[in-house]
Amino acid sequence: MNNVVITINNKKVVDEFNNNATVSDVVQNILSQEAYTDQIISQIIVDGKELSTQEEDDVLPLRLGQFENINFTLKSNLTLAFEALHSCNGYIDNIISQISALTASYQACQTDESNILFAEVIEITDLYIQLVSRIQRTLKAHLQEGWEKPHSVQQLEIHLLSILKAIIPAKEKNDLIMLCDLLEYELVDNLKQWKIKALPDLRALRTACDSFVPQN
Amino acid sequence: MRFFCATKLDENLQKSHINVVVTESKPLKLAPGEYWLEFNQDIVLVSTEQNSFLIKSSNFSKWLDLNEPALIHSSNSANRLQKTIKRFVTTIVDAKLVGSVKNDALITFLGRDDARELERSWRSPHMLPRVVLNLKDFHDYETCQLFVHERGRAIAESWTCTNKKDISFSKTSTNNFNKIFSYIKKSKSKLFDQSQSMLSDVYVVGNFLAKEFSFQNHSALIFLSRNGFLPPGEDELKSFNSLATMISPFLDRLLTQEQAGEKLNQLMLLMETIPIPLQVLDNNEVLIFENIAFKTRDESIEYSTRNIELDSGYKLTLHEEKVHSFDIDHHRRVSLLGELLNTLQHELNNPLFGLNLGSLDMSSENKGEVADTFHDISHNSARCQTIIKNFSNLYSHSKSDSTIEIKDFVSEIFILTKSEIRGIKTSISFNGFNSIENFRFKTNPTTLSQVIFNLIINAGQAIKGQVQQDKMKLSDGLIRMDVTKLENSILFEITDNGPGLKDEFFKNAFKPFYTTKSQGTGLGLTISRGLLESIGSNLITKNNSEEAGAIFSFELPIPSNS
Repeated sequence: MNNVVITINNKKVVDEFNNNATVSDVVQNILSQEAYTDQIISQIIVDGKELSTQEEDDVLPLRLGQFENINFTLKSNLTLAFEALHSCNGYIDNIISQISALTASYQACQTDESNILFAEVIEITDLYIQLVSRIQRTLKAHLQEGWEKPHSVQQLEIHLLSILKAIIPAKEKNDLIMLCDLLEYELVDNLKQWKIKALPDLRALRTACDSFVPQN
Repeated sequence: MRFFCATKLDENLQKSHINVVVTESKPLKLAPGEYWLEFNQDIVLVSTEQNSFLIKSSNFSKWLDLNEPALIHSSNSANRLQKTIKRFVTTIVDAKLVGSVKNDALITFLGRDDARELERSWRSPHMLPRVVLNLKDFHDYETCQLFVHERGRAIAESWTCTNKKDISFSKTSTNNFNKIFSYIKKSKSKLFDQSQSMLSDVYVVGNFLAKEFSFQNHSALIFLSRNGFLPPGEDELKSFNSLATMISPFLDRLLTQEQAGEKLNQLMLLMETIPIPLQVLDNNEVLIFENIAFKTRDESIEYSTRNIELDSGYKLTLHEEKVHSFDIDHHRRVSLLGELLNTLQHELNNPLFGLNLGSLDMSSENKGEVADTFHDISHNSARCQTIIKNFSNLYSHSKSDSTIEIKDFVSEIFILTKSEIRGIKTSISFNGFNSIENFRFKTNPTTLSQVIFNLIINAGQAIKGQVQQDKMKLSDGLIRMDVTKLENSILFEITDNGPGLKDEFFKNAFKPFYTTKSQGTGLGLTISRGLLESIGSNLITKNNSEEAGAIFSFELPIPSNS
């Protein structure tokens, strides 16, 4: 039986692993021996197949002898943060499309459907806020004292939060005109500005991050 | 000195050293030495940028002569008094709070520089938001808001600082403040977000830190936020809570001081503008303050002084206008007549009652002309009792309101005046009463009857004066009383066909002791006007435009519950 070939970021690992060891053992070994503290395994490719999250869980207890080669992709938090920045545009498109459906539903007086769509809009917007928060926290942790939030981001954050704050009483009072105005014009406009200004400004921090040498 | 007013100053008032600008409305801002004047009958309202005060028109000219030096003096003496009181208040506040401020702890927590900066820049409670945003620990925070509610007030005030610079002021209802206070107090994590709708008056967005304070006279809330997506970290929460604990006694002290300062300012304004002349002297009898009413008082009026010893050793002297002698005369006359009539009522009531009862018996026992005669005796003795009773009421001191039936009321007063207007024709008409029923309304019947009584007697005397001069016959004399119901009031008009009123009369009619009659006291109209004012009305005099004679009228508001 041939020994399985283990690679990390397509580079062969020096350590030899016994075929009786499990994939989970290899993962533990990589995280403790090979990865830096801010790195995580972001992807596992087994015998040329990229695994989904569920498949990863299924593979972990299996023995290495069953496979010919396994490649682990290690990525830093920072790299992941910048990758997540790209997915922000998708979030924004999704929210805008949901808002469009929501306002159409309000106009058609479809109360039940409107309520469901409203909850979805708020939920996705909340997820977007959490995502941007995590990205910022990662950048801040990496840049330490050098971190300075771009002005465009600060302005759009205040604006977005203010819109959400105003949506609460409008929804409570069932003031549909105000609600649609806030969603269709204020919120959509704010999200578009994120795509135009804030997200590019955050992406531009990549250079600063690459050149930044942590003091500790 | 420069004056702005809507009309030109009267020539008598125009002084060489003042400049008057006629303008439609009050200027937005008045510089020192500039005043806005509003004339309203016999009162002038003088406004400066800081305050305003009233002066009698008759004293205005004198005030103009004194004006500038007087105001400067007033300002100086007021400042001296204010400083003295302020020192006194500050001493009390300091003595009360000394030792409660943990200076050492604050220095340890903030570092010496920040602690010093805090002490230096935090001179007033509403500066706290800016002070907090400038502390190193919270340098990346965007907005800080302080709410303060003084116990017993209907509103809470708030100061919000954004970007470490501008502070904006706003208000919220006590009800909303209490809701927010309770919400913040009950929170265990002390980390908040904007999801609560009660927070509409809180000008922070996103996640924020908050802390409540409960003092003896105030409740306060402080909010701190980045106005961004990132929630505060654990370390920031700890720092914030520690800071809140440390600044708590400072905040209490500043709020107490400010409250005392506000009261002081209100007290000073009150002393300055109260229309009672007053002075404050120190314990060496040196004058340290005198108010505007004192400086512009009418020296022709007699004043009585009342000294009040203050705890601080100062003496407050109040100069009270002596009660006008005509008021006393009227009071005495009413009292004396009241006593006389009470005696008369008591002495005559019993025989009249007997006469009434006896004649009623005799009337029922007899028939024909005899019965009619006894019936007349009974009727007239009952009428005598009523007249005496009404006279007693006319001179009573009753100040209470009661419901009167207008037609009966007016007719009874005419009966009381019968001896004075004998021979003169009278007519009473009631207009605008949409029901044949007697109109009822609530007023002070004693006051109203005294006024109508006075005016009818006056009209009668005016006609008699003409008769004495052979200008008319007594039988041609006519006193007409018109009572008209208007929408919200009743108009009383007493018209006579006497000589009418001369121009001089209109100038002096209501001056005490002015009379056109040889036997008159000159108090009737003054008293009538005073009485009418006490029941919310005003006496108007004019000549009868259709024929000779005068018209005295007044309008009495109908109370809503009538």
